[in-house]
Amino acid sequence: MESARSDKPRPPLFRPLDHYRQRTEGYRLLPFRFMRWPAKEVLLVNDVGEFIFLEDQRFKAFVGHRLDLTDPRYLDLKAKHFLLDTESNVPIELLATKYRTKKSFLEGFTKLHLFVVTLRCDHSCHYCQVSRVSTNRSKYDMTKETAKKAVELMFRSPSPALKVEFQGGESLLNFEVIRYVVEYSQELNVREGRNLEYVVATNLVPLTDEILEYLRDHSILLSTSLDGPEALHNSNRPRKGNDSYAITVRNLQRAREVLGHDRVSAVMTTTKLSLGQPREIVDEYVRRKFGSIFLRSISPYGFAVRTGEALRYETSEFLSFYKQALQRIIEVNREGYDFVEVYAQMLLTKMLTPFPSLYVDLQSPSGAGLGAVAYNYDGEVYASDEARMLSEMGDKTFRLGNLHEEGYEEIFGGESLRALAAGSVLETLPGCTDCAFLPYCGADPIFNHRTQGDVIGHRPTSAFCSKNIEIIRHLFGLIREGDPFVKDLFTRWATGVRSEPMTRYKVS
Amino acid sequence: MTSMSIRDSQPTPVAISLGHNQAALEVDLTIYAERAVSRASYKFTDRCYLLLSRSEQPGWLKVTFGAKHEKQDLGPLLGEFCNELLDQQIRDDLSIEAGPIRDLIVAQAFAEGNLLDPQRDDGSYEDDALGIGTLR
Amino acid sequence: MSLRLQTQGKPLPSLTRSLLGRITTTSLESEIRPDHILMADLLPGQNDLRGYAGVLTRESVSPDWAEDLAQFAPAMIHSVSTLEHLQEGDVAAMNPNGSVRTLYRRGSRHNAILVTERCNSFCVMCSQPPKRVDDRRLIAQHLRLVELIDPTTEALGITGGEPTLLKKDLLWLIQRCKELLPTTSLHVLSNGRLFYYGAFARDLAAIGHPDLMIGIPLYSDIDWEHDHVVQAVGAFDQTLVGLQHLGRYGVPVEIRVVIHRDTYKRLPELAEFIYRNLTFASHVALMGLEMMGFAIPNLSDLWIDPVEYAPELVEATSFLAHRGMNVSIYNHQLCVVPREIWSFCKRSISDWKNDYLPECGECTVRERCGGFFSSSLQRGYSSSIRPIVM
Repeated sequence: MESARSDKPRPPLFRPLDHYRQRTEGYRLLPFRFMRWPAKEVLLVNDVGEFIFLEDQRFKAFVGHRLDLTDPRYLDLKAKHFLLDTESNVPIELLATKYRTKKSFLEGFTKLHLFVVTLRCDHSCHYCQVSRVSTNRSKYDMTKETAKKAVELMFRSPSPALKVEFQGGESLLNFEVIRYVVEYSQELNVREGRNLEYVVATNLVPLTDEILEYLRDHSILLSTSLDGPEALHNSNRPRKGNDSYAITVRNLQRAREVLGHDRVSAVMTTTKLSLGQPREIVDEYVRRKFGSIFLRSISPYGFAVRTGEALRYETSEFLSFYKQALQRIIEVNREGYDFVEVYAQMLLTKMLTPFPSLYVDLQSPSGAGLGAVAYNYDGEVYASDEARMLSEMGDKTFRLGNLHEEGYEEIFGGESLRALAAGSVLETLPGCTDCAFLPYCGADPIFNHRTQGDVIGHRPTSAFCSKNIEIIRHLFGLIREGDPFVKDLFTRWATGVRSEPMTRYKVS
Repeated sequence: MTSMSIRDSQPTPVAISLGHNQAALEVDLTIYAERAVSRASYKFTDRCYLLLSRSEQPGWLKVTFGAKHEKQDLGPLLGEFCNELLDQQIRDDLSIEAGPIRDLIVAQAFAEGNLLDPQRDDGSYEDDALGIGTLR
Repeated sequence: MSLRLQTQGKPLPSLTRSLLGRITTTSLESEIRPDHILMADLLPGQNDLRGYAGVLTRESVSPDWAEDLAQFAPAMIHSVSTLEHLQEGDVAAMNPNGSVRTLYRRGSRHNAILVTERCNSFCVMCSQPPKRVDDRRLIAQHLRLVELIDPTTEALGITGGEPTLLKKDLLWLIQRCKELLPTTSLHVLSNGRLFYYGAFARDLAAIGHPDLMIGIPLYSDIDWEHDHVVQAVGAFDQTLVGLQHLGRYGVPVEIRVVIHRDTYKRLPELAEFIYRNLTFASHVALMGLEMMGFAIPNLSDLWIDPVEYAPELVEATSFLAHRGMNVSIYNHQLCVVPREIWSFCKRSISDWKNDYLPECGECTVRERCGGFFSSSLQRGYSSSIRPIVM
């Protein structure tokens, strides 16, 4: 049978690109936020932190639905999910998956559990509200009964991984209860099967060989304080004999020998005295062979009332300090020493990767009370360390309950936490809802309450806001300056990946 | 009181008056949404005092600026405010256009199944109702 | 050297259906003979021929002798032109037309089962162009092959055409691989489109194969560009949804990108798209063009010398590597790839189609280099090929 001849030309075997470009009339805008940028640019950031810089004119055309398909940035806007120009739902689904990833820190609910085992301490650090130089154990130590209840409450959290952090005062002064908590939690964990991690925050003074061996045998990490070079450190952290630095350094060495170099970390706190020594502080950390530093600012309320005035500083002063310290840190890395600034790392993780930050400081919904909780020596439960410091100053707004009086549902489902949660979702806060940096930032309702009177806070006058905006802006600036070394360094910080060094930026 | 109009790429002029430690702007609500005006105002509350009120002209909103300290020159703030208003209007338009999609994204992010296409989760791949396995 | 995978001989008339068997050159116990094909240059005595799945010989068999032999070894192909390529433990198919196809080579790292020649895509560079042939009944042969493959085999591919078109039969095949080849890692090549149906991904995951990876191509971060390369409207969307499903159910996936003139320009942007949207991918393979199938008629549109897209290749590779994603470069010669990304280049070309140029003999890094597709040596390769002397 002959095949019928047709007058219609057969379709080509392979169709050209145009055949597949099934676009809608124009495009619709997908959700994003924007911020004006120097030199006539605009930064656009979508809900999952993906960003793009556009020239002002192009931005105008884009939001005015006049950007043409042939524009060099059109396809980037499409691929990065800033515009939708087909009937497809897939970009929305991808965004939903990415959004879920960005909020995945919520899984498991409360993961960090602070055990404030004593208020007793031999130091009188200027930024500490709570410590008592005292030998009165019964008044200021957590009892085993309280500790037991705290451990049991901790296991009510659904999280498969639980981190126990011992705080104080000087936590090692109540080593007995530390040991009890470790043992009791491990006993319960036989049935629970969680991933347990322990950290002891300490000034290292009470360290003994016995304690060190115990820490080693139970894989417990140490976190200590090192504010900078000797004079600075001792000024910030006075104790009888004024030898905090010497003891810290000596015991740091001991601890590293027994536990392993990477099992001991340090945090610093910035006071007015620190502001003039950014490079020196960084160099001190490098000299002591730490792998990272967390350049922490302290809120105005963080200073002990008795000594506070002289040590407070403005956000602008902190920012200047921060930038100089970061500069020095970049230099140090360029010289070949791997050293990370932790706050930048948190931000860069949110800016440059699909992942959220796991630090409770920079989350939305905020971590206080939700991701982390503090069990005070007296059985009181607080949303965070700051919350319990506030209560020491007479403000019990963020007290969630008491271990001996209430159970899990009342403490974690109570009014106090709900009120706190109301101020902890950036997406609903005035000033934050439209901020391009929202996906990179976090809520701090306790800071808002203390400095501005309510958990919502007032953005235009918020020190937390202006600090974060300026730091994020600064990081973007450094990335865009184009120094490949800095870009690679920041990528490494954000991803934690040590990959093959690429030859192009090697400094010989 | 003197009147000035601040030029911008937006053709609609905004009436302005200046006084001692005070200034007022009138905003045409057929151009700018109220929401845009209040959000723009919020951003300036660190630098000056603001009050929103109904203008004598119907369909216009009055924004009154108050200096926070003596000798404060409100002029530059007014200019910035006008520019901020434009950006807030863009944001307002954006929230109308993209807001529902944002809600959908968040809802889908935390939903167990697919909210948009039931074929996805339950559709039979043997039957292939969508014809995905159709041979070329 | 491109290896021989097929040979031809004369079948006995009694060979009426295709059969599979493991090659053996030695006499075996009767219980295991039905799984084996006896291979001999010269035929042994008649009794020794009994019970095998089939017999192959280079010897010539006259029609009279054939009648006798058919009693003992009905499934025989004689006068085979060459048997040198067949090794003990290989699995071959003997067909009624006298052809002998090697389906599995023991000791090779590049074995794959071609489960169908049908496809729902039509990629402009497809090296195995689809055929509209109903080969669904061949599943019995594929299952038989799995029974005959040596369980110590490290890796096995499942390819096509488009394997997912087999649907439940594919699932069954993978199930059998899990049962019979529990330590063999399985690499399925698929366009992923049918995983748009979540149930398919879920059922695949439910098999619980211990070492499974689905290799899925993605050619652009822009839907219509991808659809154009695969010549199917909606393919990008379907593939992405399929990938999401596989990710959700925990099936490891690999993203494969063939680099040619239609895909090189946005390669860095595609890398970023993969990082942001398909972070869970176990591996990303950036691949050179194979000059087979449709690549040949479309060569003038597709061919681009790899040195021309070196910047994009470096950018895409380092972007992914710096973010902790596993990335490999396949099918590229070291002399056309910038040295800074040599560590990502793998010797990826299947041995049976792998070749080098004469000048490669002088090259000091030849051992590390993956060489060429045999087809490339005939059809085209970079003008920058030169031995590296270090």
